Amino acid sequence: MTKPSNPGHAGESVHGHVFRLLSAHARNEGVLLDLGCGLGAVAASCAEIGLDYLGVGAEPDGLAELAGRGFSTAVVDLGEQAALLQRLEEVLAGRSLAAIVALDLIERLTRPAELLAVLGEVARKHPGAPLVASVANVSHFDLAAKLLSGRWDVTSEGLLDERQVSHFAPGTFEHELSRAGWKQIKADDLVARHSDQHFPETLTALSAGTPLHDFLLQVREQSGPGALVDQFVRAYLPVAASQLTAARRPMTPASKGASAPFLSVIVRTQGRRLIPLEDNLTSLAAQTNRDIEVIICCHDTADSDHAAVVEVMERLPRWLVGKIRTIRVEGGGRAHPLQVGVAEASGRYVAFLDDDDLALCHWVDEFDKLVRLRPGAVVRAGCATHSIDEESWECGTGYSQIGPTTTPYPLEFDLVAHLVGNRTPNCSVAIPRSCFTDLGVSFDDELPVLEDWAVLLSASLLCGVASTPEVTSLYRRWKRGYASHLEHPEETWDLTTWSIRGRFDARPLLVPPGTVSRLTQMEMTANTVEQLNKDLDLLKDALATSTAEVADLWVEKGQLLARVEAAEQLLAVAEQRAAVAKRQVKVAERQAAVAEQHVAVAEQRVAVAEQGAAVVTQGVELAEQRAAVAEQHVAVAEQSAVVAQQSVALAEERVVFAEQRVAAVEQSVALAEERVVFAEQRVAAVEQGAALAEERVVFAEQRVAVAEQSAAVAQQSAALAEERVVFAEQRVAVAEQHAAEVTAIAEARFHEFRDAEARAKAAVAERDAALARLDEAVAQAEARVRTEFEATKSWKATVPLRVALKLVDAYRQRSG
Amino acid sequence: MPPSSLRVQTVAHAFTPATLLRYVEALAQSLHNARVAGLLGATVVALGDSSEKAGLSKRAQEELREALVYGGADFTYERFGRNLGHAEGHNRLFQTNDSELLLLCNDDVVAGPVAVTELIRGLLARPEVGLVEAHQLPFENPKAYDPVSGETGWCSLACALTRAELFAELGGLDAESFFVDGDDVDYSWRLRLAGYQCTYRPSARVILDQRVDGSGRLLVSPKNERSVAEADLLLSRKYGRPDHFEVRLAFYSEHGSEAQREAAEALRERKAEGRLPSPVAGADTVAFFRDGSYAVERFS
Repeated sequence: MTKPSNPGHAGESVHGHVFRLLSAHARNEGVLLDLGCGLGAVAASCAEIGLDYLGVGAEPDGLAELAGRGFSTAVVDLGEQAALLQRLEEVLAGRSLAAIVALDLIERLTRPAELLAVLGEVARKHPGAPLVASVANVSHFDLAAKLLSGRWDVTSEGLLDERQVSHFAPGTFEHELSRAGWKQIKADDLVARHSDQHFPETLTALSAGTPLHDFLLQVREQSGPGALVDQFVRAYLPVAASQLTAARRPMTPASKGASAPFLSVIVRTQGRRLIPLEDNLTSLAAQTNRDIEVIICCHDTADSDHAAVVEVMERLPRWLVGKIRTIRVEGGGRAHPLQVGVAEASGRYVAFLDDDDLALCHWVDEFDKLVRLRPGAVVRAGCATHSIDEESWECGTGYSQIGPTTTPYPLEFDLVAHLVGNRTPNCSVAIPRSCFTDLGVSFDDELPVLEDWAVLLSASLLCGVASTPEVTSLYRRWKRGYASHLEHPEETWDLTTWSIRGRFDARPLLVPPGTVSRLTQMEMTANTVEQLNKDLDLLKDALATSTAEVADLWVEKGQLLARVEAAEQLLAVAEQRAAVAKRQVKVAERQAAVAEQHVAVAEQRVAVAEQGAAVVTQGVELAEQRAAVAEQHVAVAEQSAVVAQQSVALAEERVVFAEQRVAAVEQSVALAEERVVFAEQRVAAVEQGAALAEERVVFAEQRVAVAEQSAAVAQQSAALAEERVVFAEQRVAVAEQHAAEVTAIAEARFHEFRDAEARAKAAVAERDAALARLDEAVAQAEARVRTEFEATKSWKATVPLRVALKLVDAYRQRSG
Repeated sequence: MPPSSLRVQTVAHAFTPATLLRYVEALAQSLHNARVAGLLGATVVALGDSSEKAGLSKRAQEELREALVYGGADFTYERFGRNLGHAEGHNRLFQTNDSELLLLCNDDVVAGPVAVTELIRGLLARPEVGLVEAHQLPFENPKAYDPVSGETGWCSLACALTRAELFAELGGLDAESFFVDGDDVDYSWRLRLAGYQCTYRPSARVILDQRVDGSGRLLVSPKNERSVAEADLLLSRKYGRPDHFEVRLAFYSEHGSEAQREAAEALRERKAEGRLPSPVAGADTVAFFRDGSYAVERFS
């Protein structure tokens, strides 16, 4: 197949990159050994850097042409591994080796590692001589996209040169060189946005801007380096012979991760909350499935805090201690320790716990069950939550649960809902480690919060999610203190949410089966919502009208209520007045009754007076009868006038006298009537006095009530005073008891003192007696010394006694 | 505080060798840490097998014994041959006790590193303390406690330390009245009537193998539900609350689950046969009943 034009690296060539590497890394002089030299593409530039060119290969025609151009050549069969080393030594003929060049050669060998090993041996004899190699990259995006489209277009040269028998991606190339004993010193790869395989241009997977192309390119770029590398162009030096290991085996599936645990648990901590951390780790010790490793990432932790974390770790059950380790992570934000932890992990899956999270005992096991059902998927379980708060106790400080346990997060995973916002605590998912190592998913340290949501979205879009409603973890929220939901303001959460949404909105997404149904459901829901909104608008209008009507009615009602209130007030006043009138009527009636009683009394008095008057009348009548008698007497007198005119005159005088007496009686009647009037006046005066007396009685009752209240207050005060007196007496009693106790103690101590004094005096006396005995003994001893000396004339014989005497002196000095 | 001899008692019913090993390994570590702290003397872990199935194999027993070597503890295994229940099982195991302290612990408990250390410190802190309960995670019991002294109304015996002498003095657990549940509340209240305190030790933390449903409520089997309901009724009889007994009995009969209805029926039969516990003198000074709780709760 004809190689098409290659606009991707127009103006650039592999040879230019090789020349740069040689200029920088080849030795200053000696031979440049060009293996599989072909037409000697680098021969001409060799002289520019002062090296001697030697092209070697197995094709005589090419070598002859090269020799014809004046360059040194030699025939070397690179496939003859057994004799290759010796042959290369021969062609070098003792000359110094400046560098080895192998361009487009390695991929044409069936067992390139063997050639590379021989070259290593050659290079080690010329320290500093590098190997510069170029190899086609079959993991270039163009080839990947074409393979997915079912195309494998071999060409006469380029990425799929028809002579290639080995194929290399970045990892395999590195592995091949490494196992042959070469260490890379510089990479100067040839990058080509469009390689020679970028054809046909109409192929959808190759057409930039199509969702398929953009998505595949995104996957390829996230998967690792080299997506757009056309040729690996790199310089190597051989490692020392002593560093060559026996592990020169090719990569096999079985050698990768055979002993790796199922789950790597990354525990993020700052070493500040040791008690929650200890609980967290104990919850891991309680797991029913122990196929785990635990990596505690201590983020920005002081030495003392890290030591405390290690101490906590070492107090765990032995089996867990063997599966746990700490790493210290410095700098970066919240995401940094997670990413470092992932890099350290070796499990097939990775799960994350903050130091205050708790795993229920089947946390690992439920993940494991899900992975067995859906290998490679992100696995997710239910998560519960409750609030906790710091507490201080007699036995120290810690924390306690302060609220009920709830499950606010959806028990089943919904990708569409998660594209809108995070609904999954980080502790409730496990992600295939391959997502991080092979697909380039990573925690973004630029995100202040929600770094876990971004990773969950990236991983779930690529891997899908297998979930279970079984609740297996507990996300706990602090009421106060350090916590991400308390540390960052609401604005940060909102902005980060929008930022993450924007990232995913800008790229093509791979959605799982069922998404169409979900979106359909959402669309239908949206339509329903729209219709409901319209209905709502209509209802709002109707409501506004009704509200206005109701407002009018309320105004009207208010007016009516005001009127009712006024009427009620008037009625109340009227009722008050009626009540007052009734009371007045009752008073009046009572007064009338009293007055009637007074009247009755007066009438009785009048009756008495009238009886008196009747008596007077009777007297008058008697007087009249007597006057009649007198007239009869007058008639008798007149009849007797003749007898005695003097008697007539006397009789007339007696009549006059009787008239005077009548007049007197009449005056008495008038006087009685005046006395009746006077009695009535006195009755009225008595009534006034009674009313005044009643008022005085009311006033007196009020004074009595006030006096009773004062008496009650006085009684309370008296009771309080009595209580205070009792309390004071109790205090006095306590004080007296205390004083008695103190006195007793003082007396006891005084007796003790007297006893001690007596004992001291006795002791002094004993001491004095002892000293006296001692003095006596000393005098005797001194006498014995003198006697001994006099007897022996030798001071030596007296030494023991003199030593004893010195000891006695020393004792006296010490004891004073 | 001189070292104390300790007996750890566990009555296991529905277990597997793996869950027992998990329990024993964590316990061994916690015992080791208490020994390093100088608090622990001779220690024995007594396992009572209440399962009806075949007993623990020799190999499994040996595995547990070896795990406990790290904690410096001896191991005894007794197969009851039938399900004695929690109360009678512990009483049976206690017959051979010669230790000063008694730790009652369920086999679904995973002791925290300092759980044993803190329980011993809590019990020996004051002579009036008779029973100390561990801080249970992940879901705490909501009953209230004094934030300073830890004094509380009753202690769960899922993991609690008591004085062996006191346990003997009180006649152990009331196995006549209680089978699996309720014996802890009863023991706590009898202990308080005897003048001792029940306390909660927040620093002695243990993990329980608890599961919750989709709304965050603890999962209980119908068997457990029936047992809890029976215990509730029995406690109300024993602690002088016939009104509570009748109200709850009616509630379980009319509105309860099937398990609770069975419990109500069983208690009616027991009442008819005159097998309800006799009221305890002075019960009103310690007992507390409110909607199935036996203490004021911090949250619900």
